Amino acid sequence: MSKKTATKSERRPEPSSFRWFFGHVFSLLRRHGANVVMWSVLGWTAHEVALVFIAYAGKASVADLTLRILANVSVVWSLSLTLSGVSVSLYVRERRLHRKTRERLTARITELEIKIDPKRTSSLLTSQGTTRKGDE
Amino acid sequence: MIGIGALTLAVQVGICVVVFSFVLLKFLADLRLDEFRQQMFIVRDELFDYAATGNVSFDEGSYRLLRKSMNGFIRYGHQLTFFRLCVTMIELKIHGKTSESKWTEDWLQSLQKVRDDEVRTALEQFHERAMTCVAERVIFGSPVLISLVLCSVPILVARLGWQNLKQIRIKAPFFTLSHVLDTRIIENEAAAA
Repeated sequence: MSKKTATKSERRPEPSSFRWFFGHVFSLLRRHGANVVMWSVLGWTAHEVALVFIAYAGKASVADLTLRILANVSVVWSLSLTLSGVSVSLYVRERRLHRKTRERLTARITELEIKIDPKRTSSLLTSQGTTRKGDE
Repeated sequence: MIGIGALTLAVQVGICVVVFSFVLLKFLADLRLDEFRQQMFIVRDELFDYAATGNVSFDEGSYRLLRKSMNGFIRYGHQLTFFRLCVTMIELKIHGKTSESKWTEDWLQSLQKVRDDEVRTALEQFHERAMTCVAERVIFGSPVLISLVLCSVPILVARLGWQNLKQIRIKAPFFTLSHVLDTRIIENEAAAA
C-alpha cells in the first residue's frame, strides 16, 4: 500500500487544461499539418479551375471545348509531357526492382548477423525497407 | 470571357503543376527518404563490422546505444522534417516537458567507460556520421535551412580555413542544425522509438 502511495506521489502532475489542449493541437498539427496545407492548395486550385469552366457553361459544349483545346495543344508541350511520363514510369520500375532486391537480401543478412550478435536489434522497417503501417 | 488560346495555356500549366507537384512531393520525398535510410544503414553496417572484428563488444553500452539510436533514425526517418521538428519542440514546451537529454547523458557515460582511446574516438566518429546524415536530411528538405547553411559556410571557412573545404561541406549541415534546434531531443526521440 505504502509502495502504491509512493508510486502515486512520484507521478508527474496532470498538465493544465491550457497545456493539454494546445499540446494536442500541436500534436495534430505535427502529424497532419503538411497534408492540410497540400489539400487546401489543391482544393483552392480546383475551385479556381471550376470558376473558369463555369464561365463557359451554356456557351460552348464540352465536346466543342475539348476539341478546341486539343487543337491548340503545342507539339513541344506534348513531347515534354510524354518524356516526363516515360521518365517517371522508368523511375517507378527501378524503385520496384530495388525493393524486390532488398526483400531478397534482408532475411539472409539478418540471419547471419543474429548468429554473430544474438541480441541484435532491428530498425523494424518492412522487408522491403519501407515504413511500417503503424509508424506512419 | 478568356479566349481558347489562354484557356489551353491554363490547362497546360495546370497539368504541368499537378505532375510537377506529384514528382516533388511524392517521388523526390520518397527518394530522399530512401537515400537517408541507405546512408544510415551504411553507418550501422560499418559499426556492426567494427564490433564483429573484436574492437568493441556487442554488449558494450556505447555500441548498443549507438545502434539503438540509428535504428530509431531509420525507423522514423520519414518524420525527420524541419516542420515536424519545430512542432515537436513547441509541443514539448506547451506540454511543459523538460528538454529530455537522457540518451545524450547515457551516451556520454558509456563513452567514459570505454578504456581504449582509439575505440572511443571511432565510436564518436560513428555517432558524428549518423548525426551528419540526420542533419543533411533535415537541412536539405527545407528551403529556409538551405539558405541558413549557405550563411553558415563563411563562418566555418573563417574557423577551419580554406584548405578544409571538404570538411566544411560535411560539417555545415550539422553546424546549422545544432544552432537552430536542440539535437539532443532528436537523438532522444529516436532512441525512445
